[in-house]
Amino acid sequence: MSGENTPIGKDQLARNTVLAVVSAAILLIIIVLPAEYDIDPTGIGAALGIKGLSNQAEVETKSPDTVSQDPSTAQSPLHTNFDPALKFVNVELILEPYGQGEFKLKTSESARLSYLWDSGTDLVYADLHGHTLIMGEAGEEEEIVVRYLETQEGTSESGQFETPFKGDHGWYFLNLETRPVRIKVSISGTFDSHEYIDIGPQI
Amino acid sequence: MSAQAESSKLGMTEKHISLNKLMAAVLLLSLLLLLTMGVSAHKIGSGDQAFVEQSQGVQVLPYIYLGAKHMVTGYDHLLYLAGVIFFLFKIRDVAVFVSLFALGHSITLLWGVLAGWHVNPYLVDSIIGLSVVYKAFENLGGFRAYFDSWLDTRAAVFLFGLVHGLGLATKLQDLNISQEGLIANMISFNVGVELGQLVALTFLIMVFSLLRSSSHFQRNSILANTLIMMAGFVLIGDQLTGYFMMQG
Repeated sequence: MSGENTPIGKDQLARNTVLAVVSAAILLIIIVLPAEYDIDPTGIGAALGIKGLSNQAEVETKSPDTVSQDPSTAQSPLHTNFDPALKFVNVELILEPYGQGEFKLKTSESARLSYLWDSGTDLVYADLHGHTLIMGEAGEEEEIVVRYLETQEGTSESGQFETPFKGDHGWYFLNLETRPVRIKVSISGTFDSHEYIDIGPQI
Repeated sequence: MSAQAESSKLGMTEKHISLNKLMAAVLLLSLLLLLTMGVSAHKIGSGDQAFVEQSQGVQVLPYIYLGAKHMVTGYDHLLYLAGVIFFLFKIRDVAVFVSLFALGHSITLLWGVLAGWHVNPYLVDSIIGLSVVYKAFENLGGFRAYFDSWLDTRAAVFLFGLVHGLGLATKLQDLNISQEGLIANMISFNVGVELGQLVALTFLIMVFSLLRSSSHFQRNSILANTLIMMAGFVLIGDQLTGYFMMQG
């Protein structure tokens, strides 16, 4: 019953089947896969503006109030963008016997910082704090200081903190050994710049 | 009678040829549109899902509506149906084939949900895509060209009906349907699917009778079945990609 109305030769049958497969593959590659799965080997999906189409729609229906303002990125409520972008710093500080130094980061308010410092087996004193200058009532500059963590005798520490104000945040280190020590400091966060001040030995 | 004879003569005029071309273009365009709408069009919408998750107990009319909506907007089922009735000129044949299809998909829809089968939706949907390719290839006389005896077209419609029913079952299970009133709701969904199928069939039969009245039906039927086959391949590729993305 079916097919009786199409006397079609084997050649044409094979040609049409190949045509169907090839055109399906083209449609998949340039339209369907970019829109459905964000797979866009040719870049045509992005050019047509349909790349990642269904992912975005899904996020919008799930959480209309957390949809990112940037139309080029779709954000889930589980994710937070860093602004300014995340930075990394890895430094090695050398403190002479009973030497002191201050490693500071300049940050904005509510900057998030994760850190690790490690002095190997040598004992150091460390004071993690933030300070900034504000205008006092008398029109004079006043310094406010907030201590986050104090380590009386230690060889390493790691943690994270969020800065309560714009200003300098970092460590005062004191070498408790009679020999020079190396302190490796690694930080990731949204800081603007970093600096190290060698204060010299404590007398 | 004389008017019919006249119209068949008119079928050769340019006016009718351009009408055919126009219809082919409209069909192709709507096919492309449907394809670019992607899988989202044939999953049940998130608004509907929220309704089902909040509702408890027997909800006859809502489930009938959801079933009908799924059928009418699920172009994978529609493409297969279009393939099935393509060369069925008698309404009685349409009834026989569509009943076989309905029997097949009702069995696996009801059984699958009741037994709690959780088959992978991507794999089921790619087999549904394969059913579309199969039917179009059959319509082109593909199996007869290479094999002396092949699976009876009625048996194939029933067997692929079983697969389409599995697809329907996964969609219904996606809704996190509650155990309370499960059977009544499931049957309502199934009734809705059949109603939606009737609506779609009415539309399809109208389009096909229009196409058949044209003298270019022969040539257009080859083109149309090639396009249906292509759409089936797109469905397969889409669903298999989804399957491998989930695995990886």
